[in-house]
Amino acid sequence: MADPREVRLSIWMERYEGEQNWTAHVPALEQAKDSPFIPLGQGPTPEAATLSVTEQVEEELTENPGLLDHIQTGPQEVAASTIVIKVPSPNVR
Amino acid sequence: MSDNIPLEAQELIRRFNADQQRADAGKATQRTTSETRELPRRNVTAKELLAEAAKLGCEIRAGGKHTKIIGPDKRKIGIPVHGGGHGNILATGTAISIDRWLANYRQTGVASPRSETPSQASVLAARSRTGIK
Repeated sequence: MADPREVRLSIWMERYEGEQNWTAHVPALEQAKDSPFIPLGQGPTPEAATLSVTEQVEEELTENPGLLDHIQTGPQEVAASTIVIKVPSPNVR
Repeated sequence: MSDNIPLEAQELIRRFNADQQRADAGKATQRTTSETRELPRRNVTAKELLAEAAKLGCEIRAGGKHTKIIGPDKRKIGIPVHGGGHGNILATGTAISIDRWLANYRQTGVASPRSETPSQASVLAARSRTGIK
């Protein structure tokens, strides 16, 4: 049996203030109109959330190899950042 | 108030002042609320979402490290908890994504035509040819 090959897949992660867990998303699958599967990873650290979503994708690929087509048509890399915006103070009467 | 002001005018002034106080109190509450921030928390557990999914006609496949919800049209979404963790509150980001996915089935309420299996499709095609409904 041939060794499995490696495929790059971009993810992004979010965590809401006051919560412990991160959520990992796969934009190639979550945003695709006809995606057959949306994996969601969750964990107390970005690494744990990444591992969670990786396992889900790999597990689904064994059942549905066609998922690879959707993965390969999605973005290979994404970048995320946090910005600081200036919010005008409300006028007080 | 001055005795020179008619009673009706005094009543109008009293009401005006009361309305102003209420308006100012409302603004103060609004400022406080905006400072504390209403976060879009879902505060739902996986168990609650799975129960709703089942009501919408979805299949639940639990096992291993993750649980999957399978929609009537055979699309799937993964819930990042295993069976023992279904009672835990999901992260808001996770809950929002699942909630958004379930909204597809709340709106339609019926299975997508793509839910037909090949055998069902062939039966329907045969019926349409013979005119049987």
